[in-house]
Amino acid sequence: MTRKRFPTHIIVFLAPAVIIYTVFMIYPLIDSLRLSLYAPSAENPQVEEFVGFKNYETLFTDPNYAPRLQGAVKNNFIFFAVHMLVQNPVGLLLATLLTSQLTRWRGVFRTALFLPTMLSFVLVGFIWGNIILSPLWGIADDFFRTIGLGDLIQPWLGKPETALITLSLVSVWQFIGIPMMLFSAALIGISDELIEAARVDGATAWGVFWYIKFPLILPTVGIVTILTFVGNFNAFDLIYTVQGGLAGPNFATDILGTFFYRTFFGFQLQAGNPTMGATIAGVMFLIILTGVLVYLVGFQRRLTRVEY
Amino acid sequence: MIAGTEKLNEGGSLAALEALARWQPYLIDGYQALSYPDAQSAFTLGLGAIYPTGSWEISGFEANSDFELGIFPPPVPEGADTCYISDHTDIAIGMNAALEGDRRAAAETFLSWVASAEFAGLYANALPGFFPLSDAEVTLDDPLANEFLSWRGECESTIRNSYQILSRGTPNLENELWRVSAQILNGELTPQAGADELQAGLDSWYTPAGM
Repeated sequence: MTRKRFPTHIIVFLAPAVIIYTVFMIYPLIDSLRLSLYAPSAENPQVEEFVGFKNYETLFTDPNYAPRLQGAVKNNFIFFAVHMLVQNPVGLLLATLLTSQLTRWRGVFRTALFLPTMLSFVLVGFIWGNIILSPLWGIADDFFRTIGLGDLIQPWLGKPETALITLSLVSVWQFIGIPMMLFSAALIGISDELIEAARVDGATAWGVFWYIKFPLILPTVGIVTILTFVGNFNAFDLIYTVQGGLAGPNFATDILGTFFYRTFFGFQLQAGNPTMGATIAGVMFLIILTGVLVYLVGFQRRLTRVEY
Repeated sequence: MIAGTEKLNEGGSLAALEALARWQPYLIDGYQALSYPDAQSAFTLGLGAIYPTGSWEISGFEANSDFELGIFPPPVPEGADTCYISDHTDIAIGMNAALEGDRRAAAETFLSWVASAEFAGLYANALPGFFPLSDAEVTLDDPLANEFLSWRGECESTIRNSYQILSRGTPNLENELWRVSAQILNGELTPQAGADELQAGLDSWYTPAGM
Protein backbone atom coordinates (compact mmCIF):
# COMPACT_ATOMS: atom_id res chain seq x y z
CA MET A 1 0.00 0.00 0.00
CA THR A 2 1.46 3.34 -0.98
CA ARG A 3 0.79 6.18 1.38
CA LYS A 4 -0.40 9.35 -0.33
CA ARG A 5 2.08 12.19 -0.09
CA PHE A 6 1.01 15.02 2.19
CA PRO A 7 -0.35 17.75 -0.13
CA THR A 8 2.12 20.48 0.88
CA HIS A 9 1.35 22.51 -2.22
CA ILE A 10 -2.23 23.11 -1.04
CA ILE A 11 -0.96 24.76 2.11
CA VAL A 12 1.48 26.86 0.10
CA PHE A 13 -1.22 28.01 -2.27
CA LEU A 14 -3.67 28.80 0.51
CA ALA A 15 -1.15 30.53 2.76
CA PRO A 16 -1.16 34.06 1.25
CA ALA A 17 -4.94 34.39 1.39
CA VAL A 18 -5.25 32.74 4.80
CA ILE A 19 -2.49 34.85 6.34
CA ILE A 20 -3.68 38.18 4.91
CA TYR A 21 -7.32 37.43 5.73
CA THR A 22 -6.45 36.37 9.26
CA VAL A 23 -4.22 39.32 10.02
CA PHE A 24 -6.42 42.01 8.50
CA MET A 25 -9.95 40.61 8.93
CA ILE A 26 -10.36 37.76 11.38
CA TYR A 27 -7.99 38.98 14.08
CA PRO A 28 -9.34 42.58 14.17
CA LEU A 29 -12.90 41.24 14.25
CA ILE A 30 -12.21 38.92 17.16
CA ASP A 31 -10.21 41.59 18.95
CA SER A 32 -13.09 44.06 18.53
CA LEU A 33 -15.48 41.49 20.01
CA ARG A 34 -13.01 40.97 22.87
CA LEU A 35 -12.85 44.72 23.48
CA SER A 36 -16.64 44.82 23.86
CA LEU A 37 -16.27 42.62 26.95
CA TYR A 38 -14.02 45.16 28.68
CA ALA A 39 -14.63 48.55 30.29
CA PRO A 40 -12.40 51.25 31.77
CA SER A 41 -11.61 50.41 35.38
CA ALA A 42 -13.29 52.54 38.05
CA GLU A 43 -9.99 53.19 39.89
CA ASN A 44 -7.85 53.89 36.84
CA PRO A 45 -9.67 54.78 33.59
CA GLN A 46 -6.43 54.13 31.68
CA VAL A 47 -6.78 50.42 32.37
CA GLU A 48 -9.48 48.27 30.82
CA GLU A 49 -10.83 45.41 32.88
CA PHE A 50 -12.93 42.41 31.94
CA VAL A 51 -16.64 42.96 32.64
CA GLY A 52 -18.31 40.12 30.73
CA PHE A 53 -21.52 41.11 28.98
CA LYS A 54 -22.08 44.23 31.09
CA ASN A 55 -21.58 46.58 28.11
CA TYR A 56 -24.25 44.68 26.17
CA GLU A 57 -26.57 44.94 29.18
CA THR A 58 -25.94 48.71 29.26
CA LEU A 59 -26.53 49.01 25.53
CA PHE A 60 -29.85 47.17 25.71
CA THR A 61 -31.24 48.56 28.98
CA ASP A 62 -29.60 51.90 29.87
CA PRO A 63 -31.93 54.86 29.16
CA ASN A 64 -29.00 56.68 27.51
CA TYR A 65 -28.17 53.86 25.12
CA ALA A 66 -31.23 51.66 24.58
CA PRO A 67 -33.40 54.31 22.82
CA ARG A 68 -30.46 55.25 20.59
CA LEU A 69 -29.86 51.59 19.69
CA GLN A 70 -33.55 50.99 18.96
CA GLY A 71 -33.71 54.20 16.92
CA ALA A 72 -30.59 53.29 14.94
CA VAL A 73 -31.80 49.73 14.23
CA LYS A 74 -35.25 50.99 13.19
CA ASN A 75 -33.77 53.70 10.95
CA ASN A 76 -31.38 51.17 9.47
CA PHE A 77 -34.26 48.86 8.54
CA ILE A 78 -36.10 51.80 6.93
CA PHE A 79 -32.88 52.64 5.05
CA PHE A 80 -32.67 49.01 3.90
CA ALA A 81 -36.39 48.86 3.00
CA VAL A 82 -36.09 51.91 0.74
CA HIS A 83 -33.15 50.29 -1.05
CA MET A 84 -35.04 47.02 -1.47
CA LEU A 85 -38.22 48.74 -2.69
CA VAL A 86 -36.62 51.35 -4.92
CA GLN A 87 -32.97 50.63 -5.72
CA ASN A 88 -33.24 46.96 -6.64
CA PRO A 89 -36.55 46.96 -8.61
CA VAL A 90 -35.54 50.09 -10.51
CA GLY A 91 -32.06 48.61 -11.02
CA LEU A 92 -33.70 45.51 -12.51
CA LEU A 93 -35.94 47.62 -14.71
CA LEU A 94 -32.96 49.61 -16.00
CA ALA A 95 -31.00 46.41 -16.58
CA THR A 96 -33.90 44.96 -18.57
CA LEU A 97 -34.11 48.10 -20.69
CA LEU A 98 -30.34 48.19 -21.17
CA THR A 99 -30.21 44.59 -22.36
CA SER A 100 -33.24 44.95 -24.60
CA GLN A 101 -32.48 44.97 -28.32
CA LEU A 102 -34.91 47.85 -28.72
CA THR A 103 -33.05 50.41 -26.64
CA ARG A 104 -30.62 52.73 -28.44
CA TRP A 105 -27.61 54.48 -26.89
CA ARG A 106 -27.24 51.63 -24.41
CA GLY A 107 -23.56 52.26 -23.73
CA VAL A 108 -24.17 55.93 -22.97
CA PHE A 109 -27.05 55.19 -20.60
CA ARG A 110 -25.14 52.41 -18.86
CA THR A 111 -22.16 54.69 -18.23
CA ALA A 112 -24.31 57.62 -17.12
CA LEU A 113 -26.33 55.51 -14.71
CA PHE A 114 -23.23 53.88 -13.27
CA LEU A 115 -21.34 57.17 -12.81
CA PRO A 116 -22.73 58.12 -9.35
CA THR A 117 -21.51 54.79 -7.96
CA MET A 118 -17.95 55.87 -8.69
CA LEU A 119 -18.32 59.24 -6.94
CA SER A 120 -17.07 59.70 -3.42
CA PHE A 121 -19.61 59.99 -0.61
CA VAL A 122 -18.36 63.47 0.11
CA LEU A 123 -19.21 64.57 -3.42
CA VAL A 124 -22.61 62.90 -3.35
CA GLY A 125 -23.36 64.52 -0.01
CA PHE A 126 -22.27 67.88 -1.35
CA ILE A 127 -24.20 67.55 -4.62
CA TRP A 128 -27.46 66.59 -2.92
CA GLY A 129 -27.13 68.39 0.39
CA ASN A 130 -25.83 71.69 -0.95
CA ILE A 131 -26.37 71.97 -4.68
CA ILE A 132 -29.75 70.30 -5.07
CA LEU A 133 -31.70 70.22 -1.80
CA SER A 134 -30.32 73.18 0.16
CA PRO A 135 -33.13 75.69 0.83
CA LEU A 136 -30.61 78.48 0.23
CA TRP A 137 -28.66 77.31 -2.84
CA GLY A 138 -30.59 74.27 -4.01
CA ILE A 139 -32.01 73.95 -7.49
CA ALA A 140 -34.81 71.66 -6.26
CA ASP A 141 -36.94 74.69 -5.34
CA ASP A 142 -36.86 76.14 -8.84
CA PHE A 143 -37.48 72.73 -10.36
CA PHE A 144 -40.61 72.12 -8.30
CA ARG A 145 -41.91 75.63 -8.96
CA THR A 146 -41.36 75.20 -12.71
CA ILE A 147 -43.46 72.05 -12.83
CA GLY A 148 -46.14 73.71 -10.70
CA LEU A 149 -45.48 71.84 -7.48
CA GLY A 150 -44.09 74.79 -5.52
CA ASP A 151 -46.21 73.82 -2.52
CA LEU A 152 -44.13 70.66 -2.13
CA ILE A 153 -40.95 72.59 -1.36
CA GLN A 154 -39.68 71.74 2.08
CA PRO A 155 -36.37 71.63 3.93
CA TRP A 156 -36.40 67.85 3.42
CA LEU A 157 -33.07 67.23 5.13
CA GLY A 158 -34.01 69.36 8.14
CA LYS A 159 -37.30 67.73 9.12
CA PRO A 160 -37.39 64.54 11.17
CA GLU A 161 -40.26 63.09 9.10
CA THR A 162 -38.51 63.43 5.74
CA ALA A 163 -34.75 63.45 6.39
CA LEU A 164 -34.19 59.68 6.54
CA ILE A 165 -36.26 58.87 3.44
CA THR A 166 -34.54 61.69 1.55
CA LEU A 167 -31.08 60.40 2.45
CA SER A 168 -32.12 56.82 1.62
CA LEU A 169 -33.18 57.96 -1.84
CA VAL A 170 -29.89 59.83 -2.29
CA SER A 171 -28.10 56.60 -1.43
CA VAL A 172 -30.31 54.75 -3.91
CA TRP A 173 -29.36 57.30 -6.58
CA GLN A 174 -25.71 56.72 -5.82
CA PHE A 175 -25.73 52.93 -5.79
CA ILE A 176 -28.34 52.00 -8.38
CA GLY A 177 -25.51 51.17 -10.78
CA ILE A 178 -24.49 48.09 -8.79
CA PRO A 179 -27.76 46.09 -9.06
CA MET A 180 -28.14 47.39 -12.61
CA MET A 181 -24.75 45.99 -13.64
CA LEU A 182 -25.23 42.67 -11.83
CA PHE A 183 -28.71 42.21 -13.32
CA SER A 184 -27.44 43.22 -16.77
CA ALA A 185 -24.67 40.63 -16.62
CA ALA A 186 -27.16 37.95 -15.58
CA LEU A 187 -29.67 38.93 -18.27
CA ILE A 188 -27.02 38.91 -21.00
CA GLY A 189 -26.09 35.40 -19.91
CA ILE A 190 -29.55 34.02 -20.71
CA SER A 191 -29.49 31.96 -23.88
CA ASP A 192 -31.36 33.54 -26.80
CA GLU A 193 -32.72 30.11 -27.68
CA LEU A 194 -34.87 30.08 -24.56
CA ILE A 195 -36.31 33.49 -25.30
CA GLU A 196 -36.88 32.69 -28.97
CA ALA A 197 -38.57 29.43 -28.05
CA ALA A 198 -40.86 31.26 -25.65
CA ARG A 199 -41.67 33.84 -28.31
CA VAL A 200 -42.52 31.09 -30.79
CA ASP A 201 -44.84 29.60 -28.19
CA GLY A 202 -46.62 32.95 -28.05
CA ALA A 203 -45.24 34.50 -24.86
CA THR A 204 -45.65 38.25 -24.45
CA ALA A 205 -42.72 40.50 -23.47
CA TRP A 206 -43.98 40.45 -19.89
CA GLY A 207 -44.38 36.66 -20.03
CA VAL A 208 -40.81 36.26 -21.27
CA PHE A 209 -39.55 38.47 -18.45
CA TRP A 210 -41.59 36.96 -15.65
CA TYR A 211 -41.53 33.26 -16.59
CA ILE A 212 -38.19 32.95 -18.37
CA LYS A 213 -35.78 35.72 -17.42
CA PHE A 214 -36.69 36.37 -13.80
CA PRO A 215 -36.43 32.72 -12.63
CA LEU A 216 -33.07 32.46 -14.38
CA ILE A 217 -31.64 35.53 -12.65
CA LEU A 218 -32.95 34.52 -9.22
CA PRO A 219 -29.39 33.79 -7.96
CA THR A 220 -28.47 37.38 -8.83
CA VAL A 221 -31.55 38.67 -7.01
CA GLY A 222 -30.21 36.86 -3.93
CA ILE A 223 -26.70 38.26 -4.35
CA VAL A 224 -28.04 41.80 -4.83
CA THR A 225 -30.25 41.44 -1.76
CA ILE A 226 -27.41 40.31 0.47
CA LEU A 227 -25.02 42.96 -0.90
CA THR A 228 -27.67 45.62 -0.22
CA PHE A 229 -28.24 44.28 3.28
CA VAL A 230 -24.55 44.22 4.21
CA GLY A 231 -23.90 47.58 2.57
CA ASN A 232 -26.86 49.27 4.27
CA PHE A 233 -26.09 47.96 7.74
CA ASN A 234 -22.49 49.11 7.39
CA ALA A 235 -23.50 52.49 5.94
CA PHE A 236 -22.18 55.62 7.60
CA ASP A 237 -20.45 57.99 5.17
CA LEU A 238 -23.43 59.62 3.46
CA ILE A 239 -25.27 60.36 6.71
CA TYR A 240 -22.10 61.71 8.29
CA THR A 241 -21.20 63.96 5.35
CA VAL A 242 -24.71 65.43 5.08
CA GLN A 243 -25.96 65.49 8.69
CA GLY A 244 -22.81 65.25 10.81
CA GLY A 245 -22.10 62.91 13.70
CA LEU A 246 -25.29 63.81 15.56
CA ALA A 247 -27.32 62.44 12.61
CA GLY A 248 -29.96 65.10 13.11
CA PRO A 249 -32.57 66.38 13.30
CA ASN A 250 -33.14 64.74 16.68
CA PHE A 251 -31.38 61.50 15.60
CA ALA A 252 -33.90 61.06 12.77
CA THR A 253 -31.13 59.88 10.43
CA ASP A 254 -29.07 58.01 13.04
CA ILE A 255 -28.19 54.54 11.76
CA LEU A 256 -25.93 51.93 13.33
CA GLY A 257 -22.84 53.31 11.58
CA THR A 258 -23.28 56.86 12.92
CA PHE A 259 -24.27 55.59 16.37
CA PHE A 260 -21.11 53.49 16.41
CA TYR A 261 -18.93 56.36 15.19
CA ARG A 262 -20.28 58.82 17.76
CA THR A 263 -19.82 56.35 20.58
CA PHE A 264 -16.44 54.91 19.60
CA PHE A 265 -14.61 58.07 18.47
CA GLY A 266 -16.70 60.69 20.26
CA PHE A 267 -18.19 63.76 18.64
CA GLN A 268 -17.70 67.44 19.47
CA LEU A 269 -17.29 67.52 23.24
CA GLN A 270 -18.45 63.94 23.71
CA ALA A 271 -15.44 61.82 24.54
CA GLY A 272 -14.90 58.56 22.69
CA ASN A 273 -15.79 55.33 24.46
CA PRO A 274 -13.96 52.50 22.64
CA THR A 275 -15.42 49.69 24.72
CA MET A 276 -19.06 50.78 24.25
CA GLY A 277 -18.25 51.47 20.60
CA ALA A 278 -16.93 47.93 20.22
CA THR A 279 -20.15 46.71 21.83
CA ILE A 280 -22.22 48.49 19.17
CA ALA A 281 -19.89 47.04 16.52
CA GLY A 282 -20.57 43.63 18.06
CA VAL A 283 -24.33 44.14 17.69
CA MET A 284 -23.86 45.29 14.09
CA PHE A 285 -21.80 42.17 13.41
CA LEU A 286 -24.52 39.96 14.90
CA ILE A 287 -27.27 41.63 12.84
CA ILE A 288 -25.28 41.30 9.61
CA LEU A 289 -24.22 37.73 10.45
CA THR A 290 -27.86 36.76 11.09
CA GLY A 291 -28.94 38.30 7.79
CA VAL A 292 -26.21 36.55 5.85
CA LEU A 293 -26.99 33.20 7.52
CA VAL A 294 -30.70 33.54 6.72
CA TYR A 295 -29.70 34.16 3.11
CA LEU A 296 -27.23 31.28 2.92
CA VAL A 297 -29.46 28.73 4.62
CA GLY A 298 -32.88 29.88 3.52
CA PHE A 299 -32.21 31.06 0.00
CA GLN A 300 -28.93 30.11 -1.59
CA ARG A 301 -29.11 26.40 -0.74
CA ARG A 302 -32.49 26.11 -2.43
CA LEU A 303 -31.31 27.57 -5.69
CA THR A 304 -30.93 25.18 -8.56
CA ARG A 305 -28.40 25.87 -11.24
CA VAL A 306 -29.93 25.75 -14.70
CA GLU A 307 -27.73 24.27 -17.40
CA TYR A 308 -28.42 25.14 -20.98
CA MET B 1 -24.77 74.25 38.09
CA ILE B 2 -21.60 72.38 38.94
CA ALA B 3 -22.49 72.70 42.63
CA GLY B 4 -26.08 71.63 41.92
CA THR B 5 -27.66 74.89 43.12
CA GLU B 6 -28.74 75.96 39.60
CA LYS B 7 -30.78 73.83 37.21
CA LEU B 8 -30.98 73.78 33.42
CA ASN B 9 -34.78 73.71 33.56
CA GLU B 10 -35.39 76.77 35.71
CA GLY B 11 -34.27 80.38 36.09
CA GLY B 12 -31.81 81.86 33.63
CA SER B 13 -31.13 78.66 31.69
CA LEU B 14 -34.82 78.16 30.98
CA ALA B 15 -35.25 81.84 30.11
CA ALA B 16 -32.46 81.50 27.52
CA LEU B 17 -34.30 78.64 25.79
CA GLU B 18 -37.56 80.61 25.92
CA ALA B 19 -35.82 83.54 24.25
CA LEU B 20 -34.44 81.15 21.60
CA ALA B 21 -37.95 79.83 20.86
CA ARG B 22 -39.13 83.40 20.16
CA TRP B 23 -36.61 83.67 17.30
CA GLN B 24 -38.34 81.06 15.19
CA PRO B 25 -40.64 83.46 13.22
CA TYR B 26 -37.61 85.52 12.23
CA LEU B 27 -35.50 82.69 10.83
CA ILE B 28 -34.79 82.35 7.11
CA ASP B 29 -36.94 80.04 4.94
CA GLY B 30 -35.84 76.43 5.14
CA TYR B 31 -33.65 77.15 8.16
CA GLN B 32 -34.19 73.57 9.35
CA ALA B 33 -31.85 72.27 6.66
CA LEU B 34 -29.25 75.05 6.63
CA SER B 35 -25.71 74.32 7.74
CA TYR B 36 -23.44 76.71 9.61
CA PRO B 37 -21.62 77.85 6.43
CA ASP B 38 -25.02 78.24 4.69
CA ALA B 39 -26.15 80.57 7.47
CA GLN B 40 -22.93 82.60 7.26
CA SER B 41 -23.32 82.98 3.51
CA ALA B 42 -26.99 83.90 3.83
CA PHE B 43 -26.04 86.73 6.15
CA THR B 44 -23.14 88.08 4.09
CA LEU B 45 -25.39 87.94 0.99
CA GLY B 46 -27.74 90.31 2.79
CA LEU B 47 -30.56 87.81 3.37
CA GLY B 48 -30.64 88.52 7.10
CA ALA B 49 -30.64 91.58 9.30
CA ILE B 50 -29.25 90.10 12.52
CA TYR B 51 -26.85 87.20 12.96
CA PRO B 52 -26.40 86.02 16.55
CA THR B 53 -22.80 84.94 16.87
CA GLY B 54 -19.45 85.71 18.43
CA SER B 55 -16.48 87.89 17.63
CA TRP B 56 -14.71 85.04 15.81
CA GLU B 57 -16.91 85.79 12.81
CA ILE B 58 -15.35 89.24 12.22
CA SER B 59 -12.74 88.26 9.58
CA GLY B 60 -15.11 86.17 7.51
CA PHE B 61 -18.00 88.62 7.62
CA GLU B 62 -15.81 91.65 6.85
CA ALA B 63 -14.22 89.85 3.91
CA ASN B 64 -17.45 88.56 2.38
CA SER B 65 -20.08 91.23 2.97
CA ASP B 66 -20.43 94.39 0.91
CA PHE B 67 -22.35 96.28 3.57
CA GLU B 68 -21.25 97.90 6.80
CA LEU B 69 -21.42 95.72 9.89
CA GLY B 70 -22.42 96.82 13.36
CA ILE B 71 -22.65 94.87 16.59
CA PHE B 72 -24.62 94.90 19.82
CA PRO B 73 -24.21 92.83 22.96
CA PRO B 74 -26.85 90.26 24.00
CA PRO B 75 -29.93 92.28 25.06
CA VAL B 76 -30.87 92.17 28.74
CA PRO B 77 -34.34 91.35 30.07
CA GLU B 78 -36.65 94.27 30.80
CA GLY B 79 -35.73 95.97 34.05
CA ALA B 80 -32.25 94.49 34.18
CA ASP B 81 -29.23 96.61 33.38
CA THR B 82 -26.24 94.28 33.73
CA CYS B 83 -25.10 92.80 30.45
CA TYR B 84 -23.20 89.53 30.23
CA ILE B 85 -20.70 88.29 27.68
CA SER B 86 -18.97 84.95 27.35
CA ASP B 87 -15.33 85.88 26.94
CA HIS B 88 -13.01 82.88 26.73
CA THR B 89 -13.66 81.89 30.30
CA ASP B 90 -12.32 78.44 29.63
CA ILE B 91 -8.93 78.88 28.01
CA ALA B 92 -5.49 78.86 29.60
CA ILE B 93 -1.90 78.15 28.69
CA GLY B 94 0.57 76.67 31.12
CA MET B 95 3.79 74.83 31.73
CA ASN B 96 4.54 71.38 33.12
CA ALA B 97 5.50 71.96 36.76
CA ALA B 98 8.05 69.15 36.58
CA LEU B 99 10.17 70.91 33.95
CA GLU B 100 13.76 71.60 35.06
CA GLY B 101 16.92 73.41 33.96
CA ASP B 102 17.25 74.93 30.51
CA ARG B 103 13.90 73.68 29.33
CA ARG B 104 12.16 75.30 32.30
CA ALA B 105 13.93 78.58 31.58
CA ALA B 106 12.98 78.37 27.90
CA ALA B 107 9.35 77.63 28.76
CA GLU B 108 9.26 80.53 31.21
CA THR B 109 10.74 82.88 28.60
CA PHE B 110 8.09 81.79 26.11
CA LEU B 111 5.23 82.11 28.62
CA SER B 112 6.40 85.57 29.76
CA TRP B 113 6.38 86.67 26.14
CA VAL B 114 2.91 85.18 25.55
CA ALA B 115 1.69 87.09 28.62
CA SER B 116 3.31 90.36 27.48
CA ALA B 117 1.64 93.42 26.01
CA GLU B 118 3.66 92.91 22.82
CA PHE B 119 2.18 89.47 22.18
CA ALA B 120 -1.31 90.67 23.12
CA GLY B 121 -1.14 93.41 20.46
CA LEU B 122 0.31 91.10 17.76
CA TYR B 123 -2.20 88.34 18.45
CA ALA B 124 -5.34 90.47 18.65
CA ASN B 125 -4.49 92.39 15.48
CA ALA B 126 -3.49 89.32 13.48
CA LEU B 127 -6.75 87.56 14.38
CA PRO B 128 -9.51 90.17 14.70
CA GLY B 129 -12.18 88.81 17.00
CA PHE B 130 -9.80 86.67 19.02
CA PHE B 131 -8.62 88.47 22.10
CA PRO B 132 -5.59 88.10 24.36
CA LEU B 133 -6.20 86.77 27.83
CA SER B 134 -3.70 89.14 29.44
CA ASP B 135 -4.64 92.35 31.24
CA ALA B 136 -2.37 94.41 28.97
CA GLU B 137 -3.94 97.40 27.25
CA VAL B 138 -4.00 96.76 23.51
CA THR B 139 -4.98 98.97 20.62
CA LEU B 140 -6.84 97.15 17.87
CA ASP B 141 -6.90 98.29 14.27
CA ASP B 142 -10.25 96.63 13.62
CA PRO B 143 -13.10 98.84 14.90
CA LEU B 144 -15.51 95.93 15.36
CA ALA B 145 -12.94 93.95 17.34
CA ASN B 146 -12.31 97.06 19.42
CA GLU B 147 -16.01 97.42 20.19
CA PHE B 148 -16.24 93.78 21.20
CA LEU B 149 -13.22 94.28 23.43
CA SER B 150 -14.76 97.36 25.05
CA TRP B 151 -17.61 95.20 26.41
CA ARG B 152 -15.10 93.65 28.74
CA GLY B 153 -15.31 96.90 30.68
CA GLU B 154 -19.11 97.23 30.56
CA CYS B 155 -20.40 93.68 30.94
CA GLU B 156 -20.00 90.89 33.43
CA SER B 157 -18.45 87.61 32.32
CA THR B 158 -20.66 84.57 31.91
CA ILE B 159 -20.00 80.89 31.34
CA ARG B 160 -20.25 78.27 28.65
CA ASN B 161 -22.20 75.77 30.68
CA SER B 162 -21.66 72.76 28.42
CA TYR B 163 -17.89 72.96 28.28
CA GLN B 164 -15.52 71.12 30.61
CA ILE B 165 -17.05 69.43 33.62
CA LEU B 166 -20.70 69.23 32.57
CA SER B 167 -19.82 67.50 29.29
CA ARG B 168 -17.85 64.64 30.78
CA GLY B 169 -20.60 62.04 30.72
CA THR B 170 -23.30 60.38 28.65
CA PRO B 171 -25.44 61.98 27.37
CA ASN B 172 -23.04 64.75 26.53
CA LEU B 173 -24.48 68.15 27.50
CA GLU B 174 -23.00 69.99 24.51
CA ASN B 175 -24.48 67.50 22.02
CA GLU B 176 -27.78 67.56 23.93
CA LEU B 177 -27.87 71.37 23.72
CA TRP B 178 -27.43 71.13 19.94
CA ARG B 179 -30.18 68.53 19.62
CA VAL B 180 -32.67 70.18 21.99
CA SER B 181 -32.19 73.74 20.76
CA ALA B 182 -32.75 72.57 17.16
CA GLN B 183 -35.97 70.89 18.25
CA ILE B 184 -37.10 74.01 20.08
CA LEU B 185 -36.44 76.09 16.94
CA ASN B 186 -38.31 73.47 14.89
CA GLY B 187 -41.28 73.85 17.23
CA GLU B 188 -41.14 70.19 18.23
CA LEU B 189 -40.32 70.81 21.88
CA THR B 190 -41.47 73.61 24.16
CA PRO B 191 -38.63 75.41 25.95
CA GLN B 192 -39.75 73.83 29.23
CA ALA B 193 -39.89 70.30 27.79
CA GLY B 194 -36.48 70.79 26.16
CA ALA B 195 -34.97 72.14 29.37
CA ASP B 196 -36.42 69.21 31.32
CA GLU B 197 -34.77 66.80 28.87
CA LEU B 198 -31.45 68.58 29.31
CA GLN B 199 -31.63 68.46 33.10
CA ALA B 200 -32.75 64.81 33.11
CA GLY B 201 -29.82 63.92 30.86
CA LEU B 202 -27.37 65.70 33.15
CA ASP B 203 -28.93 64.18 36.29
CA SER B 204 -28.50 60.70 34.83
CA TRP B 205 -24.71 60.83 35.21
CA TYR B 206 -23.67 63.98 37.07
CA THR B 207 -23.89 64.19 40.85
CA PRO B 208 -22.83 67.57 42.24
CA ALA B 209 -20.11 67.31 44.86
CA GLY B 210 -21.48 67.11 48.41
CA MET B 211 -24.97 66.01 47.33
